[in-house]
Amino acid sequence: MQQYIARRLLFGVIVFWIVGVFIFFLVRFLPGDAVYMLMGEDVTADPKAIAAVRKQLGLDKPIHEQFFAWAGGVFKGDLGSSLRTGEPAVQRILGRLPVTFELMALAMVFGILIAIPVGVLSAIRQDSALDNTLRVVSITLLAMPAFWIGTMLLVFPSIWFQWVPPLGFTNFWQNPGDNLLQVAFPVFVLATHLSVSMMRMMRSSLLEVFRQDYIRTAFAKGLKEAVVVGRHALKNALIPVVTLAGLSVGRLLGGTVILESIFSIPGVGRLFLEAVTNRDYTQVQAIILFYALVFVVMNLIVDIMYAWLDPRIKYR
Amino acid sequence: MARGNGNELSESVITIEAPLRARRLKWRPLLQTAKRKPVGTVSAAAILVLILVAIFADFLALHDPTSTGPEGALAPPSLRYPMGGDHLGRDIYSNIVYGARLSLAIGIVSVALGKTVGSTLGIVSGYFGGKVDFTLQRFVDAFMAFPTLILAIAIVAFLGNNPINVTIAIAITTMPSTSRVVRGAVLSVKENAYVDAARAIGSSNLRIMAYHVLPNVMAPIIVLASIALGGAILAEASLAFLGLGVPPPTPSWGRMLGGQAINYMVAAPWMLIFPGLAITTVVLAFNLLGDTVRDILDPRLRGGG
Repeated sequence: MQQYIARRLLFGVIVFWIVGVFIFFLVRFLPGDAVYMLMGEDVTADPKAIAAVRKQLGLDKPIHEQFFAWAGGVFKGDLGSSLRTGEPAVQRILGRLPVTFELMALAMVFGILIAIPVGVLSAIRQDSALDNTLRVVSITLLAMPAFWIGTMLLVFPSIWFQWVPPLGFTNFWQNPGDNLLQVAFPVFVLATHLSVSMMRMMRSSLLEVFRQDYIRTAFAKGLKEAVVVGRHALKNALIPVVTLAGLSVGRLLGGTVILESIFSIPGVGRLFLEAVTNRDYTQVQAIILFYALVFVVMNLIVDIMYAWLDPRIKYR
Repeated sequence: MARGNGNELSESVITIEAPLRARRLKWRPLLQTAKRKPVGTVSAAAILVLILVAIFADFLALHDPTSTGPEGALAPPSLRYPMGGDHLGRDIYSNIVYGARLSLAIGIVSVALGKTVGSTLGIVSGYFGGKVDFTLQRFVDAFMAFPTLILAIAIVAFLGNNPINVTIAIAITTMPSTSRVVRGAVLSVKENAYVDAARAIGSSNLRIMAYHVLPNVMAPIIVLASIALGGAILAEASLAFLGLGVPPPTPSWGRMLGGQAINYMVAAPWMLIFPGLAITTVVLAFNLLGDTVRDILDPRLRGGG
């Protein structure tokens, strides 16, 4: 087991570095000159000023020096300063992290809470009216763009009830009521897509397990359906669902980018979007690296859990 | 001459007619499949309609989708503006009709590109194994690590938003999973006797990969491609919504829902409903078609239910 973990850890580090290098070069191979883009179209500006900005950004040094400087920075946790506000990029991310984390955690919790029972129900009553309705509903929901659902949640209550879901974000510890109301809508949208795909996986995984012989044995022994499902089938069927949940963190991250901007929630997702629109390349770099870190860690956790749940994996 | 269903005996007895028979015979399996899979058939029909709309947009649109003007501004659905007008006076119906072109074009090209590159990577990786496989798979891991939307945003943001970059960005997001699945398929195909036989007679690696491995992994590739189409269209719409898609004035469904438009949607909900409905319907059709293709070609891949 330890060897397995060590190997996955090594892979994780390699992956993280590949992403880092990719981003590093992506930023530096921008079409046009980054500095000109930063300073607006002010090309008539004093060449001295331009040179100063270049120096500040470290763009005047040869590329391998830039790379080592940047790599060194990553080790120390310094990912440069935001080109817009001058604050350290990492600080800006950490400041907004709790917000996004709350959104994602709540979405994950509700997604799982809904997906598993519904998926089990759908599988047990396969091809019933309930099952078919659920499948139709879930496929339709999956096809609806998240930003569309989110926007509809803003627009229609406004039209029908003259009520707008509260925007912005108040700290949970300061005002839990406001906070929960504010996150309810984005969490709803995030959880919807998440729970729908997990529900489908739960259903098909459970159906797959049902086909196994040991389930038939359990029924032959005279065990009640609830016991067979709950005690024997469920644990094995949950494995792919759990891995899906772990991998869905990525989709959740992507979703936060859209939903935080629709509902004006100051999270990392919105920071990312703002940085991109403002051409704050250092910030964008830092955020992408951060996302990569989150994802690599998440993958590692999923891999470990997978090995723990399914002992066969360890011996590969 | 045999009567009855006439196929088997007629085929062997009357060779002159065989080509005609063969062509007619090909329709029957298709129709039979269509009858057995009503959902897939309806989706395929819907997509056909979509393609026709895209091709004949010039004839189907009522107004120039890019022309603005005060008469159409925030106009409710009417005979003149069947789906209403947006805040700049553009006809929503015409924009939806022309938007089909963009969605289809980017969807198809990006998936084709992504699947081609991804499959190639998967075949090379699986066939050669060893160090090549290891390094390639680490790169694939790195890209798979990425939330697809964020990767796409980063690529478009850094390279500029024009149709080509958007297509490339979306193609890149479909590559990793394809290469993984194809690699898996290649690993099992590799063990087959015909690969050894080909090697024994001295076929080059390239030849083996192209003529023996590739045709036998086509099934999963096609399945993946058809499933990916819906996602690609959704991705393009999301990018456009965020302002990172194809720039105006090209009509784009996603962009119709984003940017300034939100401010006017309370007064003009048709601006919200129709583009969203268009996206949903198209993605739904592609997803259902993809599911059906998967059911037909490879029931073993039924992971999503």
